[in-house]
Amino acid sequence: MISKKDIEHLAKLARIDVSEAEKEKLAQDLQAVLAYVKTLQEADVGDESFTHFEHLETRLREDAKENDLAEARRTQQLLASAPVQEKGYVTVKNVLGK
Amino acid sequence: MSVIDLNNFTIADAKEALHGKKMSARELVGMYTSQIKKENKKLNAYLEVFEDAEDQAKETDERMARGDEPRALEGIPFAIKDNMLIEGKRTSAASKILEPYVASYDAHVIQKLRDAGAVFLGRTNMDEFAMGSSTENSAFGPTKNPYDTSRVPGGSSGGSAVAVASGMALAGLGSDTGGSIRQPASFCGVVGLKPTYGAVSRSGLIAMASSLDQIGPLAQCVDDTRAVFEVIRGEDKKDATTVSYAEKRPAQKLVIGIPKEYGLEDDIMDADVKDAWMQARKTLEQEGYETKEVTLPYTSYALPLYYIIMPAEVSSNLARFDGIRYGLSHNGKDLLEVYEKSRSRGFGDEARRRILLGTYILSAGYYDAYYAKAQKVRARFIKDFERVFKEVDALLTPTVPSPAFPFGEKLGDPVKMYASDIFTVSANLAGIPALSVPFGKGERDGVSLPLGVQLMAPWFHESTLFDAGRILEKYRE
Repeated sequence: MISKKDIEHLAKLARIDVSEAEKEKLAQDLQAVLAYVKTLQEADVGDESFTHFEHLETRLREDAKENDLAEARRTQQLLASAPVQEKGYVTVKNVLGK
Repeated sequence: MSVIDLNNFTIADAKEALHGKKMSARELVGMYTSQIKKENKKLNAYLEVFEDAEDQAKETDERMARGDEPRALEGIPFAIKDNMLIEGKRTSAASKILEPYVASYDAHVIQKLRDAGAVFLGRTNMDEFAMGSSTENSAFGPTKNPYDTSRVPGGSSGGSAVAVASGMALAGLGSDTGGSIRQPASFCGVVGLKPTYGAVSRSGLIAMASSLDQIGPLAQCVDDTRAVFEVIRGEDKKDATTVSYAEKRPAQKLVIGIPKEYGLEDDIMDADVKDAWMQARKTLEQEGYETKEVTLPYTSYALPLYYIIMPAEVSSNLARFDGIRYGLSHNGKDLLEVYEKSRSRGFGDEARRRILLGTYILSAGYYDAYYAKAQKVRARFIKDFERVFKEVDALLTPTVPSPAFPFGEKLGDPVKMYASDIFTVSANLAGIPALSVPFGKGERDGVSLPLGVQLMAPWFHESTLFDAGRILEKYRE
């Protein structure tokens, strides 16, 4: 059974705040989905390994640098999306307390 | 210019009108924008209509005036689902967490459409992050079904389906993770294709579940769907799953499989949906196709598989929305609080539910029991299809167990909502292409609603779907 405590733990891992009122409902919802997927436990898989599509293969590319102008433009565009930025950097709060 | 019925107007018709100089591209776009002005308030298909649509059409008019060779989709007005990036435009995935986000580059499919001469009319509504089967999960209000506004249009690509169905776009793009193109296509009486996994690049698509997501077209008819697919498909360096391939087509008369596990012998769909399915089978037989009953024993695992693999991938993909690099950001006393507040206020109920479920599935102690096991079952599940496609060239099933359902009917009950995808998720799990074609009508509360049938084919055999689909659409009424 998924408990309210489990929800609190998952919410912490997923970096989501969950209100007291929501916890009960979320626990029920997750429980319902997990009950629904239970049949998989009985499925016969023999010596099957992970899913793999035949047409897919790992592809590598050169770690090439873009030309400077294109790169500078892209950097600016991406930075412009950041909610808080300063002097060409994304700004964040302190990770550790002072 | 004569009055044109936009509900029966196809890409071929538009090309003829443009090339024959019976109409300018600006006039064509103008017809759609005035239809949008008339209908969108009621239906909420578009979250934003682009003010520069007519300017985009100007380029086509200039090219035509110069006598340039028309490109594949020259001047064709498109509706784009709000999870594909168009440079300089907002892209929100119908989520509060991305509401302020402006795309810094074009998605690969957008670039391809642009190069083919397409015009972008606007971005369309969807379930938040493509999570849902009704568009009720949009942070910006639901889209309504044009056949009956008390009913859902399906989802998650509900906005694009409604735009095409109600003459607010000539064609649209959607994305399909478990049925999100085909199910709304079926509910709105249009054609929808989920291509083979790897056929179309997802670069610039806001990811939901990466081993299942695929971009595809929604359109008035099979030929239009094909025309769009031919433009957007192909290899892209920025999506390592994409491959280039020659069209595959079986040489002899097609054999169509009718899978028993899709409710041939039991009651998992509405009676008129089953009638339409059987009628479609008969139609294909009359047109010279052979049909035979086949079995896919792992079918009962489709939805359970989907509801493990999808949330696991969702929880990983949505970890990037942290209030730091883009989108909504809420202030907090430290970095952790910024994350937590931004994500809590930014994500809606279904997104939160799936993130927490995926976090559970991937957490230590449960990973082997859920995720690893699901991956192994999925490998077996795919083998079912490999075997059956040695016997038949394509499979015929209903697209959805019912016509469009009323708002609110399944909203509070995730498991009930998920069951709406029962016939569509298999194609995503197996990575095969699938097409929904309108076929028949079903009456509910005195309103005649469209029904759809689905064709599934082996990997990279989209052309088989188009061939059989073209026959079925001739008998759609």
